[in-house]
Amino acid sequence: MRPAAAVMQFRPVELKREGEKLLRLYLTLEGDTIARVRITGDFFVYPEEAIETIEASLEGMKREEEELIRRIETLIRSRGIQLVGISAETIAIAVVMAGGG
Amino acid sequence: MMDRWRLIVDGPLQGSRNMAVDYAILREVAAGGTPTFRLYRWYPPAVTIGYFQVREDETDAVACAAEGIPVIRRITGGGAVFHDHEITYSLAVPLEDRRVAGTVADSYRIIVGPLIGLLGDMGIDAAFRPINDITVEGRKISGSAQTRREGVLLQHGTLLLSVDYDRMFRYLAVPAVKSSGRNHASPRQAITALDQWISDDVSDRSFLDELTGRMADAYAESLGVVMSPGGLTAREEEQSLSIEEELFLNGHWNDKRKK
Repeated sequence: MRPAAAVMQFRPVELKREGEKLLRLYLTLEGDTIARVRITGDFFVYPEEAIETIEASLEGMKREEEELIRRIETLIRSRGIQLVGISAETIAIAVVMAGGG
Repeated sequence: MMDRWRLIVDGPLQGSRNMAVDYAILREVAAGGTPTFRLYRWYPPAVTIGYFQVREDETDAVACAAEGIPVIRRITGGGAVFHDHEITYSLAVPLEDRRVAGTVADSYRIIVGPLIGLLGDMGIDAAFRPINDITVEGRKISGSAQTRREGVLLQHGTLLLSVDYDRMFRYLAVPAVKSSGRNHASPRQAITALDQWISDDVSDRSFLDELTGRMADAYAESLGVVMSPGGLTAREEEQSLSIEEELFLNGHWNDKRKK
């Protein structure tokens, strides 16, 4: 039996990129895998409930920026989600930063 | 012939009520009701936070609780606001309305346009600061937030009449990266209010009545509609009560984004 991977909840990362709103991202890792992400801040997402879809879609992924961006952008296109004042890239960067990348 | 919209002018109401009425109007418009422009105020003062924000991150919960300031999560995104001495507008129209439709970015610009025009008429050099603010000399005097749901665009926004900075920043937490990002030495330099630019007494009743009327006229003229004064329908009244109970007075809703 393998030992259970350590669960680590990181301090939130605040990220404010040019032309965007403030993102405050909470991350929990299980080993090197994303267990939970909370994307909070003063941005806009249409429809609003899609934020939970985006968060859920990142669970189980590794903290690899390009992969995360591709995952979010695919979701945005397939579900017709609009991000305003935030971007897939910003979310991905914050996920990497939050885990100490 | 010009379209007829409903104009609702409300006096000061409590925060949960104001947010519930806006949502009830959205649903009425979704069900085929008349597009509505509403103007309202706040009493007692309240804090609202954006849909994607966390109450404990945006506010000093102890100070708010001690001073009886409710913290309510909106159905719209955007930032935390201390609502005290302000006039708030809300606009609910079907998404296909050609006057305001388009991208989210476009519609913010269009919908705050009449307010900028009115400030200009009052001699105040106001400007749109994308995504959703109006500024005077770089300081924010108005912020707006928009949702699109059930086929309806709802946008509400503030016009600050005066600002009690001490109270505002006792209740609101200002994130370090945001304030530094705009190069403001202090929140006082980031936010302004109408009374800093005109000599009128902004708490005077007749001034408020006149300003409310001018706001309604500015929107009517700019959007090319006729505003018909009215009130909530019986169905909206009922809806607003259940929405207030289920959402804005409900800790589960207000803390939904809590980690």
